[in-house]
Amino acid sequence: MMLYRSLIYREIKLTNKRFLIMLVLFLLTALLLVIPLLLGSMVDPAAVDEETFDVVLLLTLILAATGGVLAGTNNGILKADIASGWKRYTKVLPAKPLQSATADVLVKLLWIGMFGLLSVGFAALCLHLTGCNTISHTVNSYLLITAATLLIDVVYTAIVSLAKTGKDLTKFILIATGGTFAVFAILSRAGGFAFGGWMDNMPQTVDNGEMLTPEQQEQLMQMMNFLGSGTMTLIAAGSLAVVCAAFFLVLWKAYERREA
Amino acid sequence: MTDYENAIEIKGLTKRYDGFTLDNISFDVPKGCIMGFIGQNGAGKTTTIRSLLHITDIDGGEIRLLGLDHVKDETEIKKRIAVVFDELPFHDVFNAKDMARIFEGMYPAWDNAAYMQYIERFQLPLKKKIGQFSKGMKMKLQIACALSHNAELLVMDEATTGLDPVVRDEILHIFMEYLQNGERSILMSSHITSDLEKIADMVTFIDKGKLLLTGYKDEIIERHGILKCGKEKLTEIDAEDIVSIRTNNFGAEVMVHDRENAGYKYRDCVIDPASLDDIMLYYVHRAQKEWS
Repeated sequence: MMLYRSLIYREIKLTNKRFLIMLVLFLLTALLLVIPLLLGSMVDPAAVDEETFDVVLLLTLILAATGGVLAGTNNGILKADIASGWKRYTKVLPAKPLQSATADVLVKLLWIGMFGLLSVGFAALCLHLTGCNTISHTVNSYLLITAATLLIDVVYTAIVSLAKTGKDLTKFILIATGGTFAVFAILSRAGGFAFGGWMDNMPQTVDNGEMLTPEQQEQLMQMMNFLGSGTMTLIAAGSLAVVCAAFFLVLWKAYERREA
Repeated sequence: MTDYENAIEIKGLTKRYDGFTLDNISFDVPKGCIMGFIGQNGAGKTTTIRSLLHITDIDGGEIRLLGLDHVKDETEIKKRIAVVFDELPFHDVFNAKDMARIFEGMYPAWDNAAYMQYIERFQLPLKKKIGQFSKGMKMKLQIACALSHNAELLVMDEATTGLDPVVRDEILHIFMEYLQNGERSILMSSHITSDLEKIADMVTFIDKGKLLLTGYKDEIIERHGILKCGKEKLTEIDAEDIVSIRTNNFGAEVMVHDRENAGYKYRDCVIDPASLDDIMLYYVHRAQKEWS
């Protein structure tokens, strides 16, 4: 237990500045998003209409996505460890690769939990202010975005961990950046498929001045309902669990790998 | 805890790189001994140390540390050894206090009081960021960390390189103190032979990936000598007595590997004692035989 405490202390100490910056960024975004609710006429929990719900849903989804990206993104420790020589030094320390990787994942989960709570907290605040309950949508979209961002980090980490010294870093970061763009492109495409081509029809304006046709509105509503459903919670949580497992395996392998 | 005779046992260590091979290296570091590991840059010292610490996999041979297998018993070994690299591997944002918090959980035998004593003795600031330390301070911090968990074996890779003579002397003094109970051992690689001459009990000398000499320092120094003679006298010296010959405008200096015997054989020549530096220099040129 003492060993984990040491490993986690080191990681938190190394990332606390980055975490604070991200936290400030997140809270600023939340503040910007909540202002319209505070100032607008929507602050009437007794009279929830569909339009209010759509606006609140949009705001909470934006914040959940922000939180997911901030939680899932690379925390820079691996790069710093290679540059400082700590990565090589870990090979002479008593911590086993499994223990080091576990500590890294625990810190990542701490971040994920923290931003998740804040995102849900924001949705709860919106519920309190407007009466619109978007908590399940927030949770699900947060988990999905975190999983997608973490997947990109898995690819980045897998490539950068091949670097042995600070000298190798630039080369491997360039390759890793290429790799992450590739994953991002794949994920975007997958996202496009998930929307079932609905996005392609977006610019179309129908005769009555509405942005969407009744069919599209119906489809969108179904999608949003699905986003907030228990099935989606299972899918999103499962996706995040799988990606976390992949993250753990990549880190474990990186700690186990010996230099040539 | 295992009982062992040799803190380090290396048998037939082989590691191949493109353009360099660490070739069948074998030597032991007895318990309670300081072993100086000498060789010029690129001789294979760091590769040997990385191999024995399992930073890199080996292609052949067997390595035992503290009587344990260096791969199979890696975790147990690493609780009981300490390593000092030529560069501080700690992050610049940490301070000495942070390092104590990090190491106290990693080493079951971490002694915070001992660490604080070293910090005080080295006059290191506790709360100043490591990034603001001088090279000497960084090395002292690394040594303080290495000596504070009661390690039985201290492995140092060029730890005194780049330090001024005062700091080097201070550090060497600490190492000698550390060894006083006879239960601890040190492997210290360096190309600064004067440091090793001061503190080492034994030396191992490698060059171009091959082991040239290993044994007790005093015996090695006593055995070797520099025979001074005119160039015309060189033909009279048996090739088997010679390590290599250094020529200059005034004559020749011949490194002999059996000073006593050479003293009898070449009575009209002066034979001076050789330093570790001399021995290293003449052995490095052994393939040329004659150099200037």
